[in-house]
Amino acid sequence: MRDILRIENFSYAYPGAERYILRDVDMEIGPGECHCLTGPTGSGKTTLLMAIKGILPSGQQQGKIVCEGIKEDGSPSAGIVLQDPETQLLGSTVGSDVAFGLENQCVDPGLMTERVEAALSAVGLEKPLDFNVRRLSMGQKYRLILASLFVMKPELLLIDEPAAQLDPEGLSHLLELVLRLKSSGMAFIICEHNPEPFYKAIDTFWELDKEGSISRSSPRNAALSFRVSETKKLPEPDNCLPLIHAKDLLVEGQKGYPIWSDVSFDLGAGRRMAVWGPNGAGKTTLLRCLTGFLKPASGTVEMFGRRPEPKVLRGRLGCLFQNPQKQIFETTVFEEIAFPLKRLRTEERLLEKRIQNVLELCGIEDLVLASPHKLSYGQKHLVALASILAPEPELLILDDPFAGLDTAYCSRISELLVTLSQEQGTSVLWTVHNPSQVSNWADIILNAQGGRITLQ
Amino acid sequence: MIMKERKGREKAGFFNIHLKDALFLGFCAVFILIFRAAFRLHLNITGHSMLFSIFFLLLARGCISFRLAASLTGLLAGCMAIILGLGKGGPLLLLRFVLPGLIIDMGAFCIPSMFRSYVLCALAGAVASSSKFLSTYIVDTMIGMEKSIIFQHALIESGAAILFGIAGSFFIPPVIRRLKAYGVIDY
Amino acid sequence: MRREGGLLCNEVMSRYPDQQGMNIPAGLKLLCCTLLSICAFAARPVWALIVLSLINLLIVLAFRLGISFFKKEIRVFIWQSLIIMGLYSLRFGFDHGLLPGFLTSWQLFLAFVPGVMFIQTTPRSQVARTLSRIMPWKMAFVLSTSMQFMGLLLEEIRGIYEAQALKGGRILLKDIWKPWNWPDLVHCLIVPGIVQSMAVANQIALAAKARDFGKNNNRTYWPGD
Repeated sequence: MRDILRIENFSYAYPGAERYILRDVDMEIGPGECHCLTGPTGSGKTTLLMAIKGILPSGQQQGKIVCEGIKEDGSPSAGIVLQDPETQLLGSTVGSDVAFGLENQCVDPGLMTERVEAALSAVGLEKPLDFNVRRLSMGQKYRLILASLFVMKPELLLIDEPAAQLDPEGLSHLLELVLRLKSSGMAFIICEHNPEPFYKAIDTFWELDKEGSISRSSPRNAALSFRVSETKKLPEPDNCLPLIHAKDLLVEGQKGYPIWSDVSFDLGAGRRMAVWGPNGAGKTTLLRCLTGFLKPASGTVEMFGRRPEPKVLRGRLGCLFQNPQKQIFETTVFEEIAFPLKRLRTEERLLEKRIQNVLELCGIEDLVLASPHKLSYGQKHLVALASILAPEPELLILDDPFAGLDTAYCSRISELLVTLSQEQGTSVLWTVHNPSQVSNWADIILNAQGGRITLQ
Repeated sequence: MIMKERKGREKAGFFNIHLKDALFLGFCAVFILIFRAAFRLHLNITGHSMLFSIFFLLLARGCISFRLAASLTGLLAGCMAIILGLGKGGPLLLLRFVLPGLIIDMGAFCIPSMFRSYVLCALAGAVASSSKFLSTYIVDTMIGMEKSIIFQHALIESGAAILFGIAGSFFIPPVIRRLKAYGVIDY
Repeated sequence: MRREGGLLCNEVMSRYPDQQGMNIPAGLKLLCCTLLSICAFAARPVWALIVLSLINLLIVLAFRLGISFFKKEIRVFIWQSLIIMGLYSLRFGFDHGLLPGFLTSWQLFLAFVPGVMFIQTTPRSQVARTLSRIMPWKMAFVLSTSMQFMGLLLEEIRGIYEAQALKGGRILLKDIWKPWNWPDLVHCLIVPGIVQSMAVANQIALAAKARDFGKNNNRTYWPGD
C-alpha cells in the first residue's frame, strides 16, 4: 500500500537558531492510519507538523518530505489544526470561515455552497451558514476548523494538542470524527501530551526527544500520568475568617445575560480548591470577579475579609492567568522575580534572600541571569510562577496552570503547589478544563457548567 | 513528488511584506482608531487624536522593516475610519492618516536610527502632525479662502495636534529599546 | 478565549451603528458624493452655494438621515464658522469680514458633508466590499482581518493588564496619570501588549497560509456575504 507521507532524514533549524530543532526524522504514514506524536514541551512537535504542511519559515533544512497526495503547486494535500482555535477562525460566519480555503483555491463561487454544506455535515456541525462564529462553543469551533480544512479535500490531517483546548465531551466528539474519517482513508497525525482520549484511534506512537530525534514509542510512555505524591488533607481551621467568601454571586455578560448565578463558597487558609468546567463555562470570569476586576451584578464577594480591590490584594494574592509567559517583561529572570518585591518596597537584603528561595523552590537557580524571553515554554511558565511566589502570598489563584505543559512540567508544578500548601499554609485555587487535572489533592472541587458553579 | 530544501513562503507579495507584518500594521491601524474614539467619547479632548496616531505610526515603522510601513498603516487606518464612519471628511479621511505616515517613512528612510532618539522621534512626530496644517492649508486654498487667513486657520486647526503628536512620540524610544532587548525586532 | 469582544471595542462600535441605506450601488454613491465635493470647491458665487445646499438637503431627506445627523453636522458648521468668521473679522474688520467668512465656511462645509452622507447611508459591509474591489485583495484581507480580531487582541491585553496590576505594576487608572509611573506603563503593559500583538498576527498569518492563502495570484469570494 502506498504511503501518504514519507519523511526521510529530515532536519530543520529556525532562521538564526544555533541548533537544529529536528534531527534526522524518519516517518511513514499510510492511508487510514492515525499516528500520535508525543514528546516534552519544546521538542519540535509543532515544528514537524508545520514542516509537513510546508509553512515553516525558511531556515536550515535537510532531507526529504515525500507526499503522495500532492497538489499542483508541490505542497502536500495536508490540513493542519494549530494549537489556538481562536486565531484560526478567519471568517465571521460559519459559511465564510469554511469557504476561506476555497476562496484561496479560486473555486467557482457557484460551487462553494454545496461543498461547504458537505464539509459541515461531515464533521457533524449543524449550524446555519450565516451563524456568527463567536457564538460557537469551543468544541463547535474545533469542528468548524476541521470542516474548513476538510472542504479542501486533504488526505492527511495534522492536529496539534487538541486536549489543551477541548473538554472531555469535545475530545469524545473529536475521537468519533477521527474514527469515521479514518475509515474513509484519511490519515491523521495528532500531537498530544495526553493521548489517552485517542487510544481507540491511534495506530502508532512516536516520540520526539529533547534533541529533536524521533523514535517509535508505546502508549504507556506517552500517557500523561502525573499524580502528586501522597498529600495530607489539612484539618479545617477553627473560627478563621475565610480567605475567599462568595455568597449568591451573579455575574452578567454583555447585554445582561447571566454567565453564572447563585455561586456560594468559602476557601479557608491552607485549603486547596479546584474549579473545573468546559471552556467558556465562566471559570476565568470567576477569577476576575475574585480579583476585583469584574463587579458581580449581585451577591457578595470578599477577599481577606473585604471587598476585593487589586491594589489591596497585592502581596497577599499571587495570580497567574492563562498563558503566563505573555506577562513576562523584564530582561533577566532575576529582575522579573524582583519586580513585585520592589513594588512592595521589600528591603534589599530580604529581597535577594526571597529571590534565592523562590528560585530553589522552582528549580530554576541556573536561569537567574538568563533572558526570560529566550527560555523554553515550560521554563517561562516556571519563571512566571516564581515571580508571583516571591512575595510569599497567602493565596494563589492559577488559571489553567497545566495547559500546554508536558508531564514532567505538570508534575513539577503540582509538587511545588503541594509543598507551598502543606509547608507554608498557602491556599491554592486553580481552574482546569479537564477533570483528570483536578487531581487527588484538592480539598474542595467546584464544577462550572450550565450557568452554575456548584460544589462537587 | 519530492520536496527538497523547501523554503517557506515568506512574502505575501504585495509590496514585499510578510503577511504577519502586514497584519501587525493592521492592528496598529485599529489601535489608532480605537484609542482616538475612546478618548473622544470619554474625555472629549480635541487634538488628542494625534497622540495615538503618531505613536502607532512610529511604532509600525520602528517594528517592521518595510519602507512604507507607516504609510500602509495610515492607509489601513483611513480605510477603517471610512468603513466605520469615524471622523469627519468622508473619503478625505484617508489623507489625514496617510500623510503623517508618509512623512514618518521619509524620516526613517533618511535617518534609520531615529527610533532610538527622543529628539529625532519628537521631530518626526511634530513634522508628521503638522501634515494636518498642510492638508488644511491645501483645502483652504482650493476653497478660495483669503490668503492672509489661510495660515492662521491652518495653525489653529493643527496647533494642538502638533503638541499631542510630539507627546505621542516620546514613548517610542523606550518601547523600541525594550523590543530589541527581547529580540522581537532585529534592527 | 475570544469573549464577546473587548468592552472598549464594542462601546466604540455601538456608538457608530451600521446604517441601512437605499438600494443604490455604493460605487455610484461614492462617485456622486465625490462630484458634489468637487463642485463645492468650485462654487464661489452665492447662488452656486444655495443650489449645492439644496441638492445636499434633498439627499438628506431622501435618505431620511434624521435629526441626529443634522445636530451633529450643524454643530461642526457652527464651530468652524465661528473660527473662520473670527479670523476674517480680525483681518478685515467686523463689517467687511463677517460675510466673506461665512461664505467661505459654508463652502468648506459643503465640501465635506457629501463624504459624511456617503458613510452614513452605506452599510458597513457594502463599504468594505467597495473598498476591497479597489484595493489589492491581500490588503483587503489584512483590513478585514485586523478589524475582526481586534476584540481578541483587546482581551489579551486586558489579561496582561490585570495580571501585571496584581503583581504590583503601577498601571491602574489612578496611577497612569502620574508621569513617574509611565515607565511601568511602558514596560509592564505597552511592550508586552505589542509583543502579544505580534504573536497573534503571526498565528493568524500561519492559519491563513495553512489554508493556502497567497498560493494563487487571485482569489474568489464566498457568495454568502
